[in-house]
Amino acid sequence: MLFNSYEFIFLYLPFTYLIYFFLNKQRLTEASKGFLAVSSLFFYSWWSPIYLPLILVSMVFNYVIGTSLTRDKGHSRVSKIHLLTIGIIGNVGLLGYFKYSDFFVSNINIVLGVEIPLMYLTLPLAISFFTFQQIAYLVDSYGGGVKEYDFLNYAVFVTFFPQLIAGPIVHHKEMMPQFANVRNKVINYKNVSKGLFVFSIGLFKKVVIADTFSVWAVNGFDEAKILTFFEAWVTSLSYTFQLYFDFSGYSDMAIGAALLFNIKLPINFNSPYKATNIQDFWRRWHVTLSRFLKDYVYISLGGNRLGDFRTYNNLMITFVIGGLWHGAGWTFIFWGFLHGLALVLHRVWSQFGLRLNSVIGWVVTFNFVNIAWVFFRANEWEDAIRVLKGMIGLSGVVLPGRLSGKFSFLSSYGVEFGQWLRSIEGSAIKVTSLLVIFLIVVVFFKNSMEHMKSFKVGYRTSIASALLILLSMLSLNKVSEFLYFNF
Amino acid sequence: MNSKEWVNLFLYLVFGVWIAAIVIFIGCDPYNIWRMSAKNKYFSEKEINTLILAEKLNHKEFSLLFGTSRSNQIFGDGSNIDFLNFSSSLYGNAVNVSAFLKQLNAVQLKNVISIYYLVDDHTLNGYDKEDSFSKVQQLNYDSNLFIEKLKFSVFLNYEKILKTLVSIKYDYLSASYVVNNNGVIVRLNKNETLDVPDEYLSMSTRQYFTNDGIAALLDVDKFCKKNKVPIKYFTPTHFTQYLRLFDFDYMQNKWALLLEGGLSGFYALWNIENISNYVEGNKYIAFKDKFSHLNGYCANKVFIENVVNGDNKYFINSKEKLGDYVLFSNRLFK
Repeated sequence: MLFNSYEFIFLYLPFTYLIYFFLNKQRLTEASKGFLAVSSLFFYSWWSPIYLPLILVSMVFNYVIGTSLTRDKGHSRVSKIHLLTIGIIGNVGLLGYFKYSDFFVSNINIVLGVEIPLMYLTLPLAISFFTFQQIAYLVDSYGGGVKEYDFLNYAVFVTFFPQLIAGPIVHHKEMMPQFANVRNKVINYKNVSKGLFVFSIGLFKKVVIADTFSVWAVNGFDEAKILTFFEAWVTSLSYTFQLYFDFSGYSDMAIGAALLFNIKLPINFNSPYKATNIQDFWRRWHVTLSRFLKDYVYISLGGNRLGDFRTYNNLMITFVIGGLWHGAGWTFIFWGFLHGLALVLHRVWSQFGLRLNSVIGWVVTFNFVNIAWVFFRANEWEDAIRVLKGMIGLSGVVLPGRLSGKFSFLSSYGVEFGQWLRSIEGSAIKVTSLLVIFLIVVVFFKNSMEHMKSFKVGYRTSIASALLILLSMLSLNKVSEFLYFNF
Repeated sequence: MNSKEWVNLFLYLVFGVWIAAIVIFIGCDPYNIWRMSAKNKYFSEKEINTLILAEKLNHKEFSLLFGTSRSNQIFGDGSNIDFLNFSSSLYGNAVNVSAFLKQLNAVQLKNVISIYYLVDDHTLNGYDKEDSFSKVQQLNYDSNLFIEKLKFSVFLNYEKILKTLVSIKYDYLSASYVVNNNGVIVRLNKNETLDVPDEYLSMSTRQYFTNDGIAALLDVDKFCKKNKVPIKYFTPTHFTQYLRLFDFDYMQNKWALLLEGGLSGFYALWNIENISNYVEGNKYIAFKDKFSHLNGYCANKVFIENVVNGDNKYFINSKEKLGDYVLFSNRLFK
């Protein structure tokens, strides 16, 4: 089920909320937890119930391994590490089978010149997220940071619907105490108002802002055969904004919906496009994924404890894995490689004690991120090359026809005049003004999480939230999926 | 204000405004789905839909016109027979037209006096899913159901709100056209013109006739012959720069298939002297936009002069004549 759908907003969310708190009011706490888990699975299987058994099997498998890891009796350190290894291999194997089989086979086919048939498996919804979440649970169980003996608790931890499909990726230890807290079992209007406030912002970001940019990004990446200079920049910037507003909008909605149930999810975005260096960017973008990669990949590889070369190596491996996590394709791997490389360069640069002026740092970082997204978004290498060629002017420069008088001398340099955003198929004024406005918004304004922190009940916030919801609801008929559902 | 009052105000505002909007929407009924009053002007093509037009055939004789936006301004054939224009509501995809004709009851069919059919680029796209204009619109009688109407009215969007406002007072938003009871788009300015573009590099519609689209048109033709309904086919008219991009050879192949399949002929109106090339003051006088739409006046003039009262000048009924026409056109424009 999509957060940005009538059935979620008008049916699923109110009914789940009311029944959950009704059961808690009747002191049926186990029933309320069971109801939350079942309704979350209903939410998960709304599109297609065929992968419901998969998530159930995955949950049971990890629960059994996790409880075995936390029981002290009968397990030596060696046998625990074996159990953990089995658990991680099981999870990675499941993810690998569904997500990477065809990628692996197609590369084997190319390298060896054979024709092993592809399986064309459909990627089960949310598998990347619930797999990572459960790997974290196993590692925490191994380290003694988690003890969970109740399957119902575990089921709620994995399936809790606000974070099930696309995160934030949460830790067992930050979720379960909240579900266990008696105070959280009664309706808390302070949290409800804050939750509705953040949910409204998230919905608006998704259906009004991200979906507007999506049209231009799709036209540029998927439809146009050639992109001239300005068309290519509009294409890449549109996707840069689309991705941010789409995914941060989703995260806001998840955080808002969870708050209705008195559950505080971790922040996932903290104005990433304000970053003045690449390390800063990764502290702000998809924070819970960065946290997972740092804690469970980078540090496991040795982090920065084994000398400079190993540190650089670990950074590169972590980010290539991060790229691969997003999708089974060389463009995703290359995107991860680019970010890893940027972090290595930044580290070397910092070690020499060099620092960039913050404005120059922002310009470099924003443009690097924007260019790297081209590989992230492109379906094929050729698409990425086409957009990048346009961005450096190799596919020509077209200026608005009305400038042909004043700037006619530019014709001798190959500059043409006419429909300068023809391939984007949007009104040039609308496209450029929205790009400028939202660039200003993401760089100079407070983000939704900062607004949430300083949230105060009052007529202004209530009316503004209602207005955002109403404006968003008028766009719900063109329901579109969230980008991160594909990863 | 405490948090509970905040939540209450939020919910009252969201649900209150939404319910009020639904009530106003149903009251104004801008899409004519509740049909609580007898309107004669509408503000979008959807308001006067296929079902409303088809219903008229139960009571009176009409001539019908199928086609695309290039025929949606044609309001009659000059006879005393009334006219229904399906160009906006049903559109002209032959798959849809064939399905529509076969669903008419005996009375409705008997009341069809003649049919005119503008065969445009989109109309023979068949079931091509890549073309948004070729989505099959099978007649859906369920849209008469109360629950369907209610769903349509509850799930409001920007367009519905805008149409409601226009319905309340369309002058405020200066509607440039209205749709009349017979499905005709009536543009307030019938003599619109088009500035001659400095350069014209791509046609607005693809010439993409598919086998299933051609089969569907032949199916329509057979249906009309079987039921003794006279039918005339004609092509859209384009301006000179558009015709320079036009692939006449491609058209020759496709229309040859139609003639071979049994079509008795069609009016090839792609290029009309003093219409296609009529330029004054650097303006195409007969066209209203760069998508090669004739203005209201010329759309009707071309139709009456060349299709209704048409002599043999533009009529093609054999592959030989078609070949000559294409040869001549290629010389003229290529």
